Amino acid sequence: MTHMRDRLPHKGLEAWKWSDLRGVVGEAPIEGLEDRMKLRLWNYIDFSDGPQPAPRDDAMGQISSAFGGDAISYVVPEGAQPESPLELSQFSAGNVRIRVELKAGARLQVREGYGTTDGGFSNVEITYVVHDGAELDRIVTTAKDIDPGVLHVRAHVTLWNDAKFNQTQLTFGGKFTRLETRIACMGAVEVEMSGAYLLDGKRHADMTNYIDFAAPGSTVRDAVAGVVTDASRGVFQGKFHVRRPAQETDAEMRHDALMLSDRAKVNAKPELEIYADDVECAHGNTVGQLDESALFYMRQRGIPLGQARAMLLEAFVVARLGDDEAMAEQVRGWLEARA
Amino acid sequence: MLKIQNLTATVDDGAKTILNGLSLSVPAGEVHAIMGPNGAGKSTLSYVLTGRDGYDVTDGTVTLDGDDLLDMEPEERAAKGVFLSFQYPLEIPGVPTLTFLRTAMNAQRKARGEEPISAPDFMKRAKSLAKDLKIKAEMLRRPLNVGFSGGEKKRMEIFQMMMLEPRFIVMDETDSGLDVDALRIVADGVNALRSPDRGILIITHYQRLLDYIVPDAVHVLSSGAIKASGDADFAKRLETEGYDAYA
Repeated sequence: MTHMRDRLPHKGLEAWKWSDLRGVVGEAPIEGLEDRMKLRLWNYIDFSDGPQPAPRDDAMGQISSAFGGDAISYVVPEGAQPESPLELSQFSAGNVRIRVELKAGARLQVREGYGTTDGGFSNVEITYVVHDGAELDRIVTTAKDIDPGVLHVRAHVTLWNDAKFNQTQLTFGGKFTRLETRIACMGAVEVEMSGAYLLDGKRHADMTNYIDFAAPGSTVRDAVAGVVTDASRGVFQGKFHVRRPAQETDAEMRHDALMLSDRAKVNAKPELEIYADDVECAHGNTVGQLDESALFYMRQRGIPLGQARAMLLEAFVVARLGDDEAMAEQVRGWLEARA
Repeated sequence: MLKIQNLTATVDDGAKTILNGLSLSVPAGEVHAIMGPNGAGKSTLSYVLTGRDGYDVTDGTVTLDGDDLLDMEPEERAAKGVFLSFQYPLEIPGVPTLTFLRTAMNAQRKARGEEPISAPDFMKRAKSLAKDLKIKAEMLRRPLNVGFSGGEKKRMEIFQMMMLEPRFIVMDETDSGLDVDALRIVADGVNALRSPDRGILIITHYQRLLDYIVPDAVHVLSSGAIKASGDADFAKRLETEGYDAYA
């Protein structure tokens, strides 16, 4: 086991400098690693089995291959648009590899819900291939009230011409939580990504998004909001890598965080690496506190301090999560208990 | 109604004294105006009355109908009926105007032990008042004050004031940013609120607003204390003669 631990990414690596996986796993037994996970599909949909994903040669990829065994692989046939979502849930320890392929014109919503068990180590490697004109909605949530374990989820998303990808992520962190999304834009595609992390205690959450533009004409919007309190830590890393052929790329990235405690930490690294000359790329990053003047204004109108804080925080987070009412409800519950 | 006695307040942890033994009494049913030069302590007075952080009251008392206001949190003072029309109303992103107002109204009612207002009653009243103030329904659905012009924000303050029906109103430089038409609309609103059991304190740099809202008394605030008082005509004299005599 020591052998495995030594291969885990650690804070000496640039992409992991604020999320030291080796350090945190070092404190926990990793014997549970070899237990195969059960993946449950709540809504059984008759997809055909698909091919195995290409092997990944980095540490996390190797670990998931070594311990996760064969990938669960589905293909959504050309033009198929199932009404109910594909749900990946009740996943709380071990390694798993998943591959979902949407053939041309297909449309699918996937809801991924993750948790961790005490001292557990969950490692999810998920591959999405979205063909021409297909559309994928991906909704990722992590369990709100379980924090003892380590959770690493990495999605590899390949988008072909005219594909659409919408992603919404909400996490309340854990002992260690990292949600990484790596997107390859292989044609003119549309991407909307939003995310929020709400952290208390000593929880940790990392949202890392890497978007690789290989072809002209893509539009990407990526917005992440964070609220941290107590001694928690939020990490945002975002990168747009615009290759030379990817002219007329239109991409925006935002990360905004509010700190409710002096002991909480936020680390953010927005990056642009651009080789094409006719592009519009922007990034913005703010880390601040709730506006004291606005809070006084609300109190002057009769709204008690706690309620005023909760209202401002809810507006801050929910504005970025879109209109998913179930998520908004989770956010409200969290804020009401802590504001 | 409102009694301020020997009020002394400092900022910057006592380094600077802004109000220096201010005494003032506004009886129920009256409108009083406070005028004074820049830096006299006008805005500080409005914040001390409403309980904003950052101001330390080192001496004196403020009571509303005999209750000690200085001992209360800002939201408790609001529930007691103290309303401040802000010089610079704040933007509240993500909170629609009507949601904000209904939350505020019901929070005040709850603090007073009253039942919450029903949604239909609230909407009926909001629609009717918005019409009087020439506020478009669309504006009420937008986040409070976000993207509103200076004049729109001031009109929204009056709208909130009329919805909440406070017992004691402090208006801080309400006329700034208003053109003549908007000024008239605002003044009509304030005049409609004049009543035997309500007091109003208008803080202003210019006399203009007092042409529309005629006060029962006018006071000069300078160097943190009331230096002179008079009737409505006194405001006109101040406008022409300036404040030098009261420095």
